[in-house]
Amino acid sequence: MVINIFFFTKLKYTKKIIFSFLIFFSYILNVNAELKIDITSGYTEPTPIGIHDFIGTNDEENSVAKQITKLVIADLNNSGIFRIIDPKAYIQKIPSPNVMPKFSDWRVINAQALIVGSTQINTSGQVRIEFRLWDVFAEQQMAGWAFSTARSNWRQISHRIADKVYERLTGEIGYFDTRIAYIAESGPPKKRVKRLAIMDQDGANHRFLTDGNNLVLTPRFSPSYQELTYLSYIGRIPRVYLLDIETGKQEVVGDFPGMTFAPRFSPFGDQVIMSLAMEGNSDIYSYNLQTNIRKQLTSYRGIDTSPSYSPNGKRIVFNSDRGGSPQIYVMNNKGKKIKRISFGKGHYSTPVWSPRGDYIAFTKYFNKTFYIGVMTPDGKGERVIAKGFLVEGPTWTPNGRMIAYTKKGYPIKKKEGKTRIFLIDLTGFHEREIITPLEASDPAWSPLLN
Amino acid sequence: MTINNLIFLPIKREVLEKKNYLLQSLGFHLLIIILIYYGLPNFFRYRSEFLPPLPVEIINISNKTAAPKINFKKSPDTEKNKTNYANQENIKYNKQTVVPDDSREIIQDTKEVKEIKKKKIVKLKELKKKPNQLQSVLKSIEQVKRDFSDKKKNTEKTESEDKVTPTKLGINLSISEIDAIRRHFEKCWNIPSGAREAGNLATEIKVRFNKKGNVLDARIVNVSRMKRDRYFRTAAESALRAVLNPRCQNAPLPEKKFDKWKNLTLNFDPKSIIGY
Repeated sequence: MVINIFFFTKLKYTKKIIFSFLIFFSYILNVNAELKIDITSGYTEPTPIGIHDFIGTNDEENSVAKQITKLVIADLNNSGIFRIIDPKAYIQKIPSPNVMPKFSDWRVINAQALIVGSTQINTSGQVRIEFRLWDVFAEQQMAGWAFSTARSNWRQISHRIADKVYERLTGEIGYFDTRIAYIAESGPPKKRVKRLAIMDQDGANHRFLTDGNNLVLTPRFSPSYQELTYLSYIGRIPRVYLLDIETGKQEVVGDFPGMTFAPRFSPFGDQVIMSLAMEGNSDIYSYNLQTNIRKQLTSYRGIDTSPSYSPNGKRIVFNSDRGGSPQIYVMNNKGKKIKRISFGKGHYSTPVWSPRGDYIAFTKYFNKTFYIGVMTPDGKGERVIAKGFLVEGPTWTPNGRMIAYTKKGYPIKKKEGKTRIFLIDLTGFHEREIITPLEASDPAWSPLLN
Repeated sequence: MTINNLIFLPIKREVLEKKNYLLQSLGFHLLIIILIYYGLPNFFRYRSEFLPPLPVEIINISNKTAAPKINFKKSPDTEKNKTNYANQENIKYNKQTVVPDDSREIIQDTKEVKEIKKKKIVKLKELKKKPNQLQSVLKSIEQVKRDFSDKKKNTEKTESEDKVTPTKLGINLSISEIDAIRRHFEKCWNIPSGAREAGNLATEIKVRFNKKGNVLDARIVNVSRMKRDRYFRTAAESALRAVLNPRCQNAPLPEKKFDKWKNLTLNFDPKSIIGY
C-alpha cells in the first residue's frame, strides 16, 4: 500500500515536471523562434560568369584551348541566360584548373560562376580537356569533368562543355550540340527560290540539302536525328517527303490520294502525322513508317491541320476551324476526346507541343498583327512572347526552354521586309537573331544527339 | 393472458413510446429554434448601465512603422527652370505693361504654359502607370517593354531608399524594417525564370548576420531536395547567391534590435512571379 502511494505520488510529480518542462521549452522555442521573411520578388538578367582561358602547356595545346574557350563563350552568350564577363576585366590569372581560384578577385567583377579548364594533347593525337565550374559566392566547386577525343572533334567537345555548364547552372538539358534545319530563301518575291538547308545551332557547318528547283516547306526532324520530313512541290503536287540527311535519299511518305502537308514525326519516330486535303476538306492522318498503314484521326468537314504529338505520344494538338475560326484543339492519339483549348481573341495556328510537355507554342493573328505565344496544354496561362509584321512557325529547342520562329520585317518603301529566324526565351526575354547566310524561314530544331 | 395480448401488447407499447419520442424530439427542435432566434442566455452579463469608456489612444502609425521619408535633393536644373519660368512671367508682365496691344501673344504664352503643365501631368501619370518590372518576370508582349535606362533609374531609386534605416525602434522588427530587408535582398536575387514547375520552388535560407548587417553564414535548409530535384537545386543556389552577393551586404538592420535579426530565415519564393 505504501509502495503504491509512493508510486502514485512519484508519477504525479513526474507528470508535473514533464508538464512544466514542456511549457518552459515551448516558451523558450517561442522566444527564440527565428524571424522568417518572404522574398517574393527579384530580377531576371543574364547571370554574369567568368570563363578563364583554357590552359595549355605548349603552343599547339594553347591554340586548341583558345578555339574551345571562344566557342564555349559564344554558346553560353547566345543562350541569353548567361553574360560572359569581358576577359579584360579579369584580375586573377589562374595557372591550372587544379588550383583553387582566388574568389575575392572574381567577386569584385561580379562573376557569379567561374569556368577554368585545361587542354592536353597526347602523343597519339588525342585531346584531353579538363574543366571545373566554381561557385564564386559560395566558394565551392559545382562540377568538374574531363573529356578525351580526337582533335578534329573540338567543336563537339566545346558544345558539350557549354552543355554541362548550362545544365549545372539552369537545371535544364543543354542544347548546344544540336542542328537547325530551315528553308533558305533567295530571289525576288515572285521568283522566290526556297531550299532546304541545315547547320549547327551556332551557324557552323552550313549546307543545302535541296537544289531549289522545287518549292520546299515545313521541315521537321525525326527523333533519330538523321531524318527530315517536309513538304515539297515535286511535279507541282504538294506531298510529304522523307529525307535521309547523310545519304540524301528522298522518298514520298505513303500513297495518299490527295495532297499531303504539315507533317511531323511521332516522339518515337515510327509514325508521321500530317494533313490530307481532298475536295476542299482536310483531315489529320497518321502514317506508320514500318507497317505502311495509314489511319484517319479526324473526320470533320472543315480544315484540320498542323498536328503535333505530346512528348509521351498519347495526345495530339492540332488546328481546326470547326468552331468557326482557326483555333487550337487537343485530342488523344486515336482521334477521340477532342477539346478546344484556345479561347482568346484572334486566330490561332501552328500549335507545337513542348518537348518538356508543359507548354504549347502557337502563332496568333489578331488585329492585323502576328504573335508567337505559349499556353499550357489545358489552355491556361496564355502569354504572347513575340510579335511582328509576320511571325510564325514556332519550334522548340530540345530542352523546351526556348522557341525559334520565322520573323519577317515590316515593308520599307514598298520593298518587302527580310525574313529571318529569331530565338526567344520561354519567359519572353532574350530575343536574338539566328544568323544565316541567306534569308531564312521555317526553322526546325533537331533533337538531342544521345 | 391471451395470445393476442402476448403479441400485441408490446407493439402497442412501442407505438406509445414512439409517440413519446416524437413529442420529445419536437420539443427539443422547438427549443433549438427558440435558442437560435433569441440567442443563448448569458448569466454573467454585466448589468450596470453605465459602461466605462474605453480608453483609445490615437497614435500616428506611420511614426511607429513606416520608413522615414526620403528627402529628394532638388537638382540645380529644376531650380534653374523655375527661375527661368519666373523670368518668363516677368517678361510677360513687362509685355503686358509696356505693350498692351499684344494681349493675344500673352494669351498664347499662357496657353503654352498650360500645355507644359499638361505635359508634366501626363508624364507624372505615365510614371505612376509604369508597372513594377520585377513583378512581370514572364513577359507578355502587351506589357511595357523593359527599358534599360528606366530600369537603371529604378534600381538607383531603390538603392537610395534602402540606405535609409527606420528611426523609431520598438521591441520587434517593424513592418517597414522587415520590408527594407525584403527589398534589400530582392535587388540581388536573379530569379530562375523559365524553370519547370516554377510554382513549387520556394527555398528557405538560414542566415546569420554580424552587427553591421553582413552575412556571416548562410545555408540552404532543404538540402536533401537539392540532390533529387535539379530545378530546385538551381532555385536554391540562386537564392544562396542572392544572400552571399557582395553587393547585398550591409543589410539595413537596426543595431539596437540585433538579437531579433542576427538569425533570420529568408524564404525565396518565385511563385508569385513565375508560378502559374
